[in-house]
Amino acid sequence: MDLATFAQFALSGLTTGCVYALVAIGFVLCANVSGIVNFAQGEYVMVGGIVTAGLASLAVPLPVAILVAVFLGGVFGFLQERVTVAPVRRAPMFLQATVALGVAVVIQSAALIVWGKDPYGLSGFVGDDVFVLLGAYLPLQALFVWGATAAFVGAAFYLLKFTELGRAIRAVAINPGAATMMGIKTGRMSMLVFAASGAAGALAGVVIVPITSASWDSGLEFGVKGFTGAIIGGFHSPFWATAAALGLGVLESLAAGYVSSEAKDIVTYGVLLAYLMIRGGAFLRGRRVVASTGGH
Amino acid sequence: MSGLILRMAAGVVLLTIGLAPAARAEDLVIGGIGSMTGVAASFDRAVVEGIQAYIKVWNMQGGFKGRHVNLQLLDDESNAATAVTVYRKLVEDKSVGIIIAASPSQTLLAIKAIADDYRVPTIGSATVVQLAVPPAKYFFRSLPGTDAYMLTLINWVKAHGWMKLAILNPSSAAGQSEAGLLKKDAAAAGVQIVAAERYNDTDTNFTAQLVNIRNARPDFFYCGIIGGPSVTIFKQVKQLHLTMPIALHSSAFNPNFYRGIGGVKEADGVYSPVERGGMAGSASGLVAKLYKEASDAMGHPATNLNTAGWDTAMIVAHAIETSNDTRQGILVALENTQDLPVIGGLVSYGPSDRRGKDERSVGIGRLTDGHFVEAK
Repeated sequence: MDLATFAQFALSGLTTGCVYALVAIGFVLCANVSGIVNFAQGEYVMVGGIVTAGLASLAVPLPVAILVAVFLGGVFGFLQERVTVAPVRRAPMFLQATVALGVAVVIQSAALIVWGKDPYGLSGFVGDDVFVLLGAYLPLQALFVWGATAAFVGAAFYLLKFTELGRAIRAVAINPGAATMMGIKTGRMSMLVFAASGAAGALAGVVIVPITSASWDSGLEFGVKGFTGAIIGGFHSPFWATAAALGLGVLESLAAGYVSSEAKDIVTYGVLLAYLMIRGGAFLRGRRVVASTGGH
Repeated sequence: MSGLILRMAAGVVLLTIGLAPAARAEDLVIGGIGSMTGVAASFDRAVVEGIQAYIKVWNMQGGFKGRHVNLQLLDDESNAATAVTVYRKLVEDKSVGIIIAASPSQTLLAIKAIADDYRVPTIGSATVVQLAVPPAKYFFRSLPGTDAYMLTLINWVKAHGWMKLAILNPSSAAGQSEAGLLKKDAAAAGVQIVAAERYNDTDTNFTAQLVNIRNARPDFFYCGIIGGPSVTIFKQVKQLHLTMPIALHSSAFNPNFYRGIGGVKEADGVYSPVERGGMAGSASGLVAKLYKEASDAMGHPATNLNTAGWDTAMIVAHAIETSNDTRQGILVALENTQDLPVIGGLVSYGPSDRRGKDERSVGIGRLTDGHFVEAK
């Protein structure tokens, strides 16, 4: 096993893992604050990528396209919360999950109608050149993916740990009833978290689209992997979810490289199954929180 | 608002019923099925454009024995179930003597499965081997099969002395069928497959597969790309410094691919096994004459998809012209077709041969300024 090959697999997996991480954070925040597993989370990656690439193809300046895409992700997240989450807040969990899946299908179908079936590509923000790290060739765009992920995770950490707003969000996640009695507007927190999660997903789409392209159905893969990362992370802490999602990206790439591309998903999901069976309590712990916040 | 809804509903009904005006009693009616909407539309609309162009020229030259030729075209919406429904609708029309189907292989396989029940000669423009093997009496394929493309590629690779080949194929049935053919042909030719990787259409990271291919040090790399990932794979091939000569599946080359990789020039020098119709722009003799006729009829240089449609219509016209204009007569005429020259090569059928074009109709194209020229 030579270092360059290992680094190539691991670092490119880390780049993909960053996108999974931004999706996983959205899953965890939405679930803990609203009690709903937001299966539409991956679609925001698609929205961010396809809007950026689509606008850029219309000669819209890239910074404007990026801002519009992230803003739209936030607006869609806000609208999802107001239109489809708030009305079913007291409904059974399976119904909430079905509604979230419905939102995912609607976003996908709308993207197919608006943008067509062909993938949209985009050149890297500073070109398509590569840099070499530990013998691995990586696109310069990977630096933007890593940077955006680090910035978002850092900002989320700061917000949740050191601000009044963050404390309010955590209070709603821990005990929505008590939070309400303390004067915290739980509905407003839910809106805020869905908007932030939508923006995070769109940001992921913005930075990854020069590497992967984007098409109407590209959100599914990111959504499933982000969900998996959130599960492995316990569905409770955004930071454990981030770590798990990054690890998932790396594992997936190593499996494809060292086992075989045919066995990539077998290895990835095999590890997930093994983890869930051995550490069943991790998911149960997350589910307890989700359930406890579902009735406010 | 209600007017808009009514217009939209009328549009849907028109698409379902047909895309062409009703035939007059004295018309010669050819049934047509095409994926005019849905995921396959970006390919098959171009094939239908070629079919329509040929029929336009046929009518300008007097039609069939003075009768106007009418293509009764129905949209299968890129859906096999819809294709079967519209196929049944066409065969129930007694004026339809033959049906042309411009749809993806999986859709055509569904039509092939029922063609012998309805006994209307049907000709489909797709490449999967199973469309012709085993043969169905009433179903004919107009394009070379995947086996012809792969055999041509392997022979060409071997002729260059490149004895180590790497392949990357989709994990779909079609992709793995292609990989299986490559392995069989490579073994027969003494070419070693040093890496055989696969990918899912939903994958977003191909680094592992491409690094394994790079580490295997092949002389040549073929990527059976169909659909979305083509841009990502091509960019990662360059970023990972895979410097060996590379061939891509011909379906990769479309305006979105060129836009995604940063322009046509980026793909200069890439090879592809293509039907000779796709290289006819640089041909001479009869092929050049036919290609010019097709391009003039369409008002732009014909693409390989356009010529596929044109050729299919040419085969149908030949069968009708040499028959008594009955379904059975057209069937016999098709079976008797031998080395019919079309833009993409020579077409032959037989009593139990439904392949149409063979490896003689396939060449290796080298992309130059967005056009394929025959590679040396």
